[in-house]
Amino acid sequence: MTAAGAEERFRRLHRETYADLLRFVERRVPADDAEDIVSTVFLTAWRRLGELPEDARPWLFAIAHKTMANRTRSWLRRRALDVRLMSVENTTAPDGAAGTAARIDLERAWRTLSVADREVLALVAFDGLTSEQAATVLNCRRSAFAMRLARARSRLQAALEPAAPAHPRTVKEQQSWTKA
Amino acid sequence: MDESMKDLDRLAVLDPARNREPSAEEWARAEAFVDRVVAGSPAVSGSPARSGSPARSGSPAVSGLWDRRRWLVVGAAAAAVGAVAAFGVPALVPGAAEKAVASWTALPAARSGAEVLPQAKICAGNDVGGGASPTVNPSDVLLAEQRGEATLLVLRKSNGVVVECLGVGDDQLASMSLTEGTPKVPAGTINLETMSSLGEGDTMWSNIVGLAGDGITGVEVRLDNGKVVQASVDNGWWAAWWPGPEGGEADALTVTVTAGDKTTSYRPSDLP
Repeated sequence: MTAAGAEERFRRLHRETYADLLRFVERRVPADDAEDIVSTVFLTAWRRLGELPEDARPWLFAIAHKTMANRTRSWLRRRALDVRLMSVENTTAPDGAAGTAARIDLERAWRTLSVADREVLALVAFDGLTSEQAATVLNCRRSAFAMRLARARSRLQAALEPAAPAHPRTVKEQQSWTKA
Repeated sequence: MDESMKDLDRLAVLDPARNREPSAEEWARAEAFVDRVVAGSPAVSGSPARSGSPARSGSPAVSGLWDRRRWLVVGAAAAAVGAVAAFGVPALVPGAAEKAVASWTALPAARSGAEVLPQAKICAGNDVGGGASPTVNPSDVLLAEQRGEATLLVLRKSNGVVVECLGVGDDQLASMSLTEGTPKVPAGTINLETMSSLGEGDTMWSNIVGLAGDGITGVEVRLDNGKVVQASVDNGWWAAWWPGPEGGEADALTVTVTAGDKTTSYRPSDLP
């Protein structure tokens, strides 16, 4: 690839994926930190442009995921990268009280899930990835991701069912982000 | 989303980035960054990556971006380097980093708290971790090692915060807080508190530090370039540093843990 060709490809990649990557990162870390992480990912992509697969978006997300996981350890000493939630206070409910109640139920159910379950669900429901792309992000086989997703969906469904027996899973509180 | 995943549609209301679009200012900053990147260094050609196997971030520049928040540069030159750090470029006390890197050894020499008390007082005297400690005792030093001219310390300050310091003689290169209280990990296991890199070019260096459970007799850091670094283990902590960028990269090394006759190797991302 010529230098001009590499630059053109990189700029096109940036144009096509920057917004998606920013959203992917902001779902997991505070907005203040997101731009820095996205820059790190694109710098990596530039340095390894010749290695990027044709479908580069999952590759970029995978680099971002690794970067965030590593930083999370240092900043918060948490044990896992977690998906954030849109706070109730910041949302409007166009469909009224019923919609609000459903959303609260959904959020409650979401919080009962493990960090790992939330991540596999978010990769599909929030980030819009296919199972194959999500498997790339988590560096696992597609079949393994599909199994994890099926289990996570099942646990989410169980947590949403009002007639379900008391759930033995410990409720995990959403941890708040603070600067180290 | 796959058609079969439509039951997940309802989760969209929880999406923290729902309807999020970059602002004009964000686009402008991002495009300016792209301009700087393409102007700064050539892209690296190579064979296409295998699907499902993302490449590691592997440039010093990435590492520099990665870790600028973690280490605080302290000591006599702090004011001067602080001005540089505001631009996001990690900096070190001039000369000290060169000495540390030039004299570095893969095998550390263990030091007692009493032996490193002068360096411990300097380490405890900075504001990292919530303030300076008025007094320092040898027992406050949880781990101390010497590699050439550089001394690495893991130290408990009087406020209970555990900090890490790296210095050469009376010159501190950097310091950062690690944890509070007395956390422990199960016997025979380790965790990774953090790893990072700092500096640029020939004086870039990396560190890695974590908790070590009872029974851990050795920790070794094997870089992907083949270099092997023996870590120090003491008082429930393990730590090492080395010249190079790997601490700021994603899984560019392997940590091998020995507990008795059992040896286990981990990629950093696999460590708790």
